[in-house]
Amino acid sequence: MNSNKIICGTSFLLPKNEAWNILGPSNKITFSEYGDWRGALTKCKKNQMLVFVIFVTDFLYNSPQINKNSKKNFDLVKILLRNIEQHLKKTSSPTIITISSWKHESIIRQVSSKNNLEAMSNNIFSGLEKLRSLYSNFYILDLDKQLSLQGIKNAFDNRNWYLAHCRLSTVGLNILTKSLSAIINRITKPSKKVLVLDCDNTIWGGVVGEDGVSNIILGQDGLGSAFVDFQHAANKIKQEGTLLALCSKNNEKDVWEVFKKHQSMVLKRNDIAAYKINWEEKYQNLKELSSELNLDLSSFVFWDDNPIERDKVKKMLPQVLTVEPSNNVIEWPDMLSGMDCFAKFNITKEDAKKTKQYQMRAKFTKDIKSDIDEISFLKSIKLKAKAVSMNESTIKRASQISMKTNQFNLRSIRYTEKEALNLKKNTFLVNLKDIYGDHGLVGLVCTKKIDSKFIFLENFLMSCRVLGRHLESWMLNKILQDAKRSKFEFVIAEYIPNEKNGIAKNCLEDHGFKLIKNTKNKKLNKISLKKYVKNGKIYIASVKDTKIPFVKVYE
Amino acid sequence: MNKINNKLKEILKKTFPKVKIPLKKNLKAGDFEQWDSLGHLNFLLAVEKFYKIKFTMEEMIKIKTFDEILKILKKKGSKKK
Repeated sequence: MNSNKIICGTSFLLPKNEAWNILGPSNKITFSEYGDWRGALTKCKKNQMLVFVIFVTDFLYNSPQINKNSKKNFDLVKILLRNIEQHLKKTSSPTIITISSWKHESIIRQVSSKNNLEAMSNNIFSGLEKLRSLYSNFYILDLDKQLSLQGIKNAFDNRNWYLAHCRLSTVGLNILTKSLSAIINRITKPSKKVLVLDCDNTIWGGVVGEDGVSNIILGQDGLGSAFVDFQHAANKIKQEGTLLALCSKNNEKDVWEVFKKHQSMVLKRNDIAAYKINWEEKYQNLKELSSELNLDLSSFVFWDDNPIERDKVKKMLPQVLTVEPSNNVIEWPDMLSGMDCFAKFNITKEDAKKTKQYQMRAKFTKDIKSDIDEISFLKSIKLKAKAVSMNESTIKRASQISMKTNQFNLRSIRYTEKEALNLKKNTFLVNLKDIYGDHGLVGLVCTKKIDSKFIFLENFLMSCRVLGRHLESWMLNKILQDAKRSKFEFVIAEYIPNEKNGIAKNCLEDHGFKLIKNTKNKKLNKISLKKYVKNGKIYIASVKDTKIPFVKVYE
Repeated sequence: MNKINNKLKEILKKTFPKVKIPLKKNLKAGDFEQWDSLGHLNFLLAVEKFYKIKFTMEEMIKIKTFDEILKILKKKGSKKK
């Protein structure tokens, strides 16, 4: 939220109005001069986020002759799109364009034929859509859809237009800034990872322990179908990569009986990644779910019909997002599918497999606990790691994993998709398979050449769901082997501690890397690390002499 | 009346968070640098939002002082005190 932003529009946007505060400190926001979107598009620096607010009527207003001349209208769209494309070509930061094409119009004209305004906005939309397929980090919002939630009439204000050439009312301006903030939020922060659901009166109506499986409210009619739709909504976000968990005060047997026997259940038992069905306090259960899944509670969302349970969780675990659902269950399906915190811009192949992968992880954790000898256990599960180079199909995942991995991450360097495009050289993703299944792409390594002797470990991260398999050892070994082959002598690495990556703290030392306390250390051969490192702990490993442990568990 | 005056001051402070508001009763547009025409517009929109009223275009152009705003709020019978 705190990066520098340039905001421009086809008409005035009331800079400094309090509605803009939601986008962060005002000293980070620059508004272009009134209507000077062309200037903003050309002046916008590489590292500045650009927001461009288009009102299609402004084009017609500024040159009324276009209204009658469809060719000129077409030319104008061309110029607009060309300017936008030139900007997209040079920027490495996000670009957000919002479009509103509403104009008060007689209903007779609306039904008789397509007017110029509509033709023009269709042209703009299809042009932008093409650009979106070519450039990542580019977001297009149909503003009218958002404005219509409050009523278009409330969102526009002719008085503001004639007074200051601002199309929007205070209401409209607030909808615009809130929508922008939702988009920017998701660009900079990952989506929530777990939805924890209560059972009774949440995924079905009634109390199974009292009413019995056949008497709960769930099915085709009335309220029962609202619960069915709520389950459909939960299932959809599950398919997009959010884990579903149950947290219910119930007898476990009763709950699974509903899952097994009730004809109208949409969710199946294997859709549930983890569960706590008992009579303990829910905040305790949430904590346990968090350690079981090895996911931070700040990525949890809690949905429960009971206000007392909600209040307790809110008080004890403020980092969990506790949803305040409407009192009216019929509103729930829309509410859940409309929640921004689960939605993602891109769904990768990995997302659809998420639940399966966590179930595999749970089984692995259970098995390794019951085996006495770790090494022979790991040898028996047929671990197979593979480096996967960067290409069209893996770039999205490289960006996604760099954004999402918080714990086992040495430097927490994040890549947007566009930045990931530039990584091809010296970068690889890691695929892991074992008898539990294919874990997908779970690691990312990126190195940079410093000079003929030294390389720098720019990025090194691993998804926590494969923890305990010494995959990090395999990855470090692979880096050293590659370095050896390219005749490098030393690998320099850095650990930048933060609130979440404590788990990676000893990783380098445990694998034979040596801490460098002073950057004037003579081993460094006078190379300057300033260009590479930040202010973390710096380590060095000799390619020749470093022995990586645990590699033998890999085939 | 005093109560509304204080409320207006609060809204003014929120509109211009970095400015030290001068100590006088009948404040008016232009009293400090940031209270220019755009600042005034943003201020009046915030007053509208708080009192749930709407100024006409003529009013928006004409009113410059707290006293004038008070008069109009009274006339419109704002729902809040």
